[in-house]
Amino acid sequence: MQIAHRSYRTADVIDITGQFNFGTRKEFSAAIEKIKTSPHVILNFKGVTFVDSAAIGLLALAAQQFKSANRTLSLVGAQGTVKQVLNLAHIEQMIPTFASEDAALSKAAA
Amino acid sequence: MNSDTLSKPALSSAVATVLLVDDEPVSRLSMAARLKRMGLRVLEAGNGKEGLAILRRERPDLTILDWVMPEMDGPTVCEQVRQDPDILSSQLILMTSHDQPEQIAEGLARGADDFLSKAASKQEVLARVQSGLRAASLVRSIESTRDELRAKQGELEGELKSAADYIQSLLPVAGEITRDIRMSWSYRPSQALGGDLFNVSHWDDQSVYFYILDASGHGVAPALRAASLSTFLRADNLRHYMNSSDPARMMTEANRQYPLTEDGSYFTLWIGSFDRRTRQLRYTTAGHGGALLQRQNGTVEWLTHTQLPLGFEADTTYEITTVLIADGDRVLLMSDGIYEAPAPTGELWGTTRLETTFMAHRSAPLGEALPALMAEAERWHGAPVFPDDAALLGLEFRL
Repeated sequence: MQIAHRSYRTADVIDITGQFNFGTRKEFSAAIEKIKTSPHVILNFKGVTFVDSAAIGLLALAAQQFKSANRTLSLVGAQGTVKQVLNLAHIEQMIPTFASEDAALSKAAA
Repeated sequence: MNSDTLSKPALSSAVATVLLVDDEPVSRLSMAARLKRMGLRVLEAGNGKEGLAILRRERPDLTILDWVMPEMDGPTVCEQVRQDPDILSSQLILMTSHDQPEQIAEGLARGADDFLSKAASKQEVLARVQSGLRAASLVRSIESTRDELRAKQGELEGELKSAADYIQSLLPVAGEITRDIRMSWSYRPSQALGGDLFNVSHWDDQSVYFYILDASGHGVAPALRAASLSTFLRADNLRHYMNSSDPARMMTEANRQYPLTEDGSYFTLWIGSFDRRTRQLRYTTAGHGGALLQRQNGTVEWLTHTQLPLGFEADTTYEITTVLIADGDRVLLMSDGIYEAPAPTGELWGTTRLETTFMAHRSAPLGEALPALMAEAERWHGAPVFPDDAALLGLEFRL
């Protein structure tokens, strides 16, 4: 898994590429920790090829942490099997999911 | 010649031991005297064969070998040492009067650690011997650490085995649950300790409930958490919290008791309760998609609906779905490890193939159908151990 951080308009975007699983959980946690004061973080899953149950757990945990700190966490770009797995776990109930970063920003600004 | 005599038998074990193998008595006595003056314990042998025997018996810290010897020459001794697992880490110095670069290269290639000319100065002999002893000390230290690690690994494996036996003891005994329900299961953990558990329990004379849980992650921690949740789901414990075998209440209480952990670990859980009087199966699920009902005519209904896994949200409300069970119906609970078994190409086995295989074994007893499902998933995967725990629990109703 590769993780890159960039700024886009008023949000911090974390681009994740490759397999997001138990073996790569620490990289994800470290990336989230690095921008722990950012009011709006967008997780861009366009390049994610696989997610397992540990990744789902980390997303749920991040969602809880953002909620308790009154910060916004959004998810964009999930495709194919990854999208199916996220849907099965109902991640969208915890992390608002959008088609694009602009859509996530528009919703956050509304 | 029998010259493996101890030069100073009373020396303490802290004194390094050097084995000197040389067939020329004068040369050997001269070198032995030098080594003894360095404070070393010296063992002597007059040919390669004898030297190898002493090396195996005494395990000296360093062995100095003459190249040309009767019975077995120095390079052959080096080769024999490197082929013997018990002594292959011995430090070996080859000694010769012909120290041509080609000969040095051959000696090193055949297993020597270093080379010493018979014409070497006292200082060079001292330096080479000290260097060899330093290397020997390092090798012994590494071997000692390795042995300790192996011993600890053995202890850990023993403890894991005990824990695995305990987890196994939590699984139900296959067979007749009541006179109208037969149960069978098949389980293949991906590691020594599995994080999937399932069970069938009597709530009272008229109702039984059954569940399958899947702890996220692999290894000891998820297995222990799974054992804890399994214990929580025992009827004698649940009666402290509720007075009916209502799966939604069980799920709500489990959701309260098992929140998402600080490292993001959680469970998916499916619980169903069957009432023999009404023939109703009432079920609920927390993110667990692996449950199906196979009617006697072979048609399949998946017993699942969308709901968050356990512990994601403290105030989750769990829906109950009710289905009527008929004679000959089968309920199959499974963990995702079975239908997500990947082929070598990466393609997952999938629920459609699972359904097809289950259908193909419709007329076989559950005790044969479930292992057949597992075997087919294994054939697809191409190896007996799946990346995730794979569990199957089947119930057949004879109403």
